[in-house]
Amino acid sequence: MEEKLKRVYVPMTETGFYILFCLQEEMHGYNIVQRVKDMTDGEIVISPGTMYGTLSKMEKDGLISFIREEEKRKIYQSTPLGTEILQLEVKRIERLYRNSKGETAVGK
Amino acid sequence: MKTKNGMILSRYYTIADFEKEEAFLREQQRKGFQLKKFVLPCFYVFEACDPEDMVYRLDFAEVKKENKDSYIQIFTDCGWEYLFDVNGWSYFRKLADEADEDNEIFSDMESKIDLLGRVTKRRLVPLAFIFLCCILPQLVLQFTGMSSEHSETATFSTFFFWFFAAMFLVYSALFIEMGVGLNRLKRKYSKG
Repeated sequence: MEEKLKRVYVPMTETGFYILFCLQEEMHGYNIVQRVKDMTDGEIVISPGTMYGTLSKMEKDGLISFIREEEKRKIYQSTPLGTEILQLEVKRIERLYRNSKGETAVGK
Repeated sequence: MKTKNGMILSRYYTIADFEKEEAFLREQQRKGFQLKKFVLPCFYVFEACDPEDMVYRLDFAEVKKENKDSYIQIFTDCGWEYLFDVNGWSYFRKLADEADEDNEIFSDMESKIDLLGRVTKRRLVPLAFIFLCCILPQLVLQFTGMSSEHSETATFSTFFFWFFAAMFLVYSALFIEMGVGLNRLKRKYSKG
């Protein structure tokens, strides 16, 4: 099951990556929208339909879990599985970055 | 139809036409009529207002009852006004922003295609089920009944044969319309 999830989530969509990245700490949907907006200097603004859809999908797949509700806002945090998948994705992006700079695994 | 302080328009949109419905509602508000409610099967009730460029968006999110409040809250936080639900569709609106991406409730291709998937699963598949398990068998059954030796049975079957034949045509037309429409949207979204 976990292997299948890893294949589904890696490579990840940009939205998925930022949401899972932010959820390394407790946050609700709108927190994430604002945080991502700040992090990317306004280049990435996650719309509410996309946010809700991604959160519910990730919760269903066990990547994040619901912590508590504050004033109708659901607060989530990444599970160990979610963090593991995020690490895989980070490694993939690091490899992409190194390769894009002309570094290859053979040359090491 | 004009009413005391507004109007009622009748329009029919299928599940593949939600973008046309959004455009229709935006257009009415530009003319000074704001959507107040929807009455089944196909009546849009408007009230007079100052003409504004208000963007309307429809979502089909399959939200469970206990999650409805938090679902609406995310939209409210992002500046959208929630109106009501009709047949599983949630209606939202906000004043049009100069930046196009701020007028959308979906910010990436994947989530738009996910929406089409949910609509297909919850709306198109049940229709196909009724078609295959009721209309089609009945059509065959009544067709065989038409050649019955009992004249009463034959008359009865002839009536129902034509009834189900009409249903068959209506369903086929709807399927083609919706299938083609959803497919067109999917191709459009995939191109980004």
